[in-house]
Amino acid sequence: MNLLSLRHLTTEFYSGGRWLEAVSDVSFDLRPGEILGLVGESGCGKSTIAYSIMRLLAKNARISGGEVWLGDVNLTEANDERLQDLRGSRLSMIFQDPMTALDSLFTVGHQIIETLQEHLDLDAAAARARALELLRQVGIPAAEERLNAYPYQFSGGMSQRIALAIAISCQPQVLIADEPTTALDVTIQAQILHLIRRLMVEEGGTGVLLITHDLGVVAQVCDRVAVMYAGKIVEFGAVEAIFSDPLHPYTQALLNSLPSQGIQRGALENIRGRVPSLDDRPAGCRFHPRCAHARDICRVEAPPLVKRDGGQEVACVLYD
Amino acid sequence: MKSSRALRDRLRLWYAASRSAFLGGTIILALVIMTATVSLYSPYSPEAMDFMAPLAGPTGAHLLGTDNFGRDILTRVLYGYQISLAVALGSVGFGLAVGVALGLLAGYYGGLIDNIIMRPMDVLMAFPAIVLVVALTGFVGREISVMVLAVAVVYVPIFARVMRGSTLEVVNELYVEGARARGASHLRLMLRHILPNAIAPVLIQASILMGIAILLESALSFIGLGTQPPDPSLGLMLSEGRSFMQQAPWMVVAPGLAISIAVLGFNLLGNGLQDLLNPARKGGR
Amino acid sequence: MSSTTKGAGPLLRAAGLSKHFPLESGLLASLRRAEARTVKAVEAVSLDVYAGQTLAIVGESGSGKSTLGRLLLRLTQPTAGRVLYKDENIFSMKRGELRAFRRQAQIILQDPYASLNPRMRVGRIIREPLDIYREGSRAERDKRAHMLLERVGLTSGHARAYPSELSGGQRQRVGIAAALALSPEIIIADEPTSSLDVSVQAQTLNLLSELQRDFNLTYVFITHDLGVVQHFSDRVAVMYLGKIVEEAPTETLFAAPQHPYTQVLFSAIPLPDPTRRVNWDLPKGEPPSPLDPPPGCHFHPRCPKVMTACSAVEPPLKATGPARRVACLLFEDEAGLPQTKGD
Repeated sequence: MNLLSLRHLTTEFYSGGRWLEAVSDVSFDLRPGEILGLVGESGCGKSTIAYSIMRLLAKNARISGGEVWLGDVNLTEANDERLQDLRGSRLSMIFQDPMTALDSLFTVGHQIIETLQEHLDLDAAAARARALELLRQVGIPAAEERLNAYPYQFSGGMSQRIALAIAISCQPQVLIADEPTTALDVTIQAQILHLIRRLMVEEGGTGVLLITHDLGVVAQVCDRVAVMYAGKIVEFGAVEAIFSDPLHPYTQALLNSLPSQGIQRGALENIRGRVPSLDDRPAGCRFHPRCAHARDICRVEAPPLVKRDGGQEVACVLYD
Repeated sequence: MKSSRALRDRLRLWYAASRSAFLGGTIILALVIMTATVSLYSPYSPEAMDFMAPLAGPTGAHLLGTDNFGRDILTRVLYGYQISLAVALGSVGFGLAVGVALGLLAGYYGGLIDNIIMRPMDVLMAFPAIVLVVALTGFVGREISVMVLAVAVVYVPIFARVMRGSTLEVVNELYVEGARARGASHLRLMLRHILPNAIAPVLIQASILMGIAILLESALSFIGLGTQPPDPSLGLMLSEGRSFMQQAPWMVVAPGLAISIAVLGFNLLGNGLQDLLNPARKGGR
Repeated sequence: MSSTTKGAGPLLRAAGLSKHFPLESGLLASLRRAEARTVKAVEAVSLDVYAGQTLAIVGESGSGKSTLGRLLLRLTQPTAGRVLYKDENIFSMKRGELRAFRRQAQIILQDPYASLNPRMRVGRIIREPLDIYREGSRAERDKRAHMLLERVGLTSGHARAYPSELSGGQRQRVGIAAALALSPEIIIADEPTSSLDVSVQAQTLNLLSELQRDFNLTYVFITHDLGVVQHFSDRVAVMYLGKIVEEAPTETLFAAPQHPYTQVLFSAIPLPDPTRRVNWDLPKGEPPSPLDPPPGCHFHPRCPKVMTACSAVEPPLKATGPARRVACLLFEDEAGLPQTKGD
C-alpha cells in the first residue's frame, strides 16, 4: 500500500498572459518508512510538486491535470475543509525557513498545543504533556522552560527542530520536507537529517518526501530518488543504483559537476548552456540542447520514463 | 511608424503596471498642457470683465459661467492652475533638492553629521505646517516666490527624513560595499549607487506633497495671505465666490472641483508610484 | 598551480587581527563604557596569503570568516592587529596608498542578486572600476568592459542589460568581470558560489580556475562548502567562533584533519556517495553564541575528545607539521618548526 501516489500531475503558472507548465506529467509513489528524494536545480519544479500535493499553490498557479492520492483520498478534488483537516494530521510539511511555520506572536508551547488540540481529542494537560514529549524528542534542551519561549529566541537549527515537532505532532503518514536544511550549517544539518530519519522513518513508518538540491543529502539519507529536469522526472530509482550507475545524461553531468569527488583542481564537468525558463522549454527531450549525446530524434520526441531491468527508470532514447 | 508603436506598447505597459499611476499621470499631464496653452485657445482674458453678464450661469459662451465681474470662470480656473502648479512645482522642487541632499548626507555619514543635520529638521517639523507658512508669508510678503519658499521650508525636513531613512537601508546593500572595495569615492557612492536606489520613496512622497502644496496655496489665498486680486487663484476664487453662494453656486463649485481634481491626480500618481517603485519582489528571486 | 613567487614572502599577511563589535551603540552606551559588551567576531587571527595561491577560509555561520575577509580589504576597521600588504600596514595607509591598494585587491561577493547595483547596466558596472581610476579614454574603457564580458563567458550584448535580466550564474560572472577590470593581484571571494546551482557552480569554479592561471591571481576563498575547498584551494584555515583552530595545506588537511572540530565538520559533510553513509549523530550541540563564548577552548562543550584542561586553557595555534598549525591541547609543539609557512 502506498501512502502517497502522484498520477500524471501537471501544474501550471500563469505568466505573461498564458499558462505555462512548471510540472509536467509527474507520477510516483511514496511507501511507508521510506525517504524519497526529489532532486534538481532551481526552477525544475520540485517545490511546485510539494505545494501541489499540499494544495498550497499561489493564486497564479493551478493543477491542470493528474491526481494526487493520499491513501484513498484524492487531494486534487478534496474541498478546503477536508484539506485543512488533513494538513497537519495525515499530511505535514516543513520548509527551508522554519519561521514559515511559526507565528512570532505566540510561544512555541502555545503553537504545538494548538495544533495538537485541533486534530486530536486531548485536554489541556494531556496536550501540554505531549508537547513536552515532542520537544524532548526533537532534542530541545530544557524543554520545560523552552515551552514558554517565543520563536525569535531560538537559533535557526532550534527553530527547525520546533517546526519538525509541530509537523510530527499528530503522527502524520506523509511528511513533505522542502529543503529543510539548506539554511543551516553542516553540523546542524547532520543533526536535523538524522532526526527526521529516526523519528519519522525508523520509529513511525511515515513516508518522507525530501526535496533538495543537494546530492550529498540525497546520497546520505534517501532510499529512492527522483531526478528532475525542467518540470519532468528524468530518472528514478534506488539511491545506490542512481549514484553508482546514473543512466540519464543529465544525472551523469550533475554528479560529475560536484567539486567534492576527490579530483583536485581538474576542470569540473560543465553542463553547457543553462536551464531553460518556463516559457522557453525546448520541444522533444527538454535536455537535448545541453546534452552531449543528443540525436535528431531527441529534438522531436519526448522520451517517456521507462523501467529498465534493474528497476531503475529513465527517460532517454539511449536506452530504448 | 515604428516609434509610435513602441510608444503605444510602453503606454500599455505602464497602464498594466499601475492603473492608478497611469490615471494620475494622465490627469496631471492634461492639466499642465491645458493651463500652459490656455492663452492660445481661450477667447477670454482672465481679467476681462463683462458687465453685461455678471453671475451668468453656464452657457455656450461661458462653459462654467461668469463671476460677479462677468469674468469667464473656466478661463480663470485654467489661469488659476498656473499659479497652483507653479507653487506646487516650485516648493516641491526646492524642498526635494535641499531635503534629498541633507537626508543623503545624514544617512550616509551618520554619527555627528547626522545629528547636526537632523536635529534642526526635527525642530522645523515640530511646527505645524500651516502656522509656519502663515508666519512666513505674513512677515515676509505676499508674492508667489515667498509662498513657494514658505511651503518649501515645510517640505525640506519631510524629504530629508524620508531620504535619510531609505539611505540607511541602501547604504548596507552588498553592491555599495562592493563599490567601496573597488575604491569608489564617497561622492560616487552617494550619487551613483545610493541616490538612484534610495530615491523611490522620496518621489512617492513628492507626488503627494504636490497635492498638499496646491491645497496650501489655495488655503493661503483663501485667507488673503497668498495670491492677491485680481490675479486668478483657485483659493482666491473660492473666497470671492463665498458671498455669492446663493445666486451663483458655480463660482465656488468650479474652483473647488478644480482643486479636488488636481489633488486627486497627484494622490493617484503617488499611490501608483508606490506600487511601481516599491515592489515586494525586491531582490527579484 | 602555485608555480610563482614562492619564498618571496606573503603577499598579504594578517597579524594579531581582532574585530570586536560593540553590542550597544549610541550616546548612552558610550557613557557607561565600563561595562560595554562586545561580540568578538575575529580574535587574534594571524595568517599569510601567498602570491598565486588560493587560501580557503572555512567555517560555519558565526565563525567570523566574512568579517575576516572584510578586514583583509580594510572594509572595516580592526580592534587590534595589522594587515600587511607587501610589508605595508593597510590600516595606516594614506588616501593615495589606499587607492593603490584597492586597485590591487578586489572582492567578489556572495549573493549575486544583492551584489550588483540594480539601476546600473551591466556594461557600466564592469566599467566602473576603470572610471574610478580614470583608466584610458571612455571608448577604451567600454572596449575593455566588452572584452571582460566575453572573457567571463558572456557576450558584449549583455552590456546593455540590467542585472535583473540575468540569471544568478550570469550575475556572478558580471561580478567576476568587475573584479577583474583593474587586473588586480589578489581577489577575496566571499562565498562566491554558495547561492548557485551545482551545474552553475561548476561553471563558475572552472572560470575562476582559468582566470587564476591566466592572470596569476591570488585568491582568498571564504566558504562553508568543503567540497569547493578541496577542489579549489592550496591551503585551508578552519575558523570556529572568531579563531583559527587549524591551518594546513589542503591535501594534508583532508587526508588527516587534526583538530576535533575539523574532524566533526568533515564527518558532517553529506558525501554524494550512498555507500559511505556517515554517522549522523556525531556533532553534538549547537555552536555557542558568539556573545558569550565558553571559556578555554571555544569548542570544548561540543568536543568528543574534551579534557578537563580544555575549559581552563585557551590553546594557542601550534605548529604540528610542515606548514601546519593546530590550536588544541591534544597536540604538542613540534620543536624547530617555524610557526607559519607556505607549502
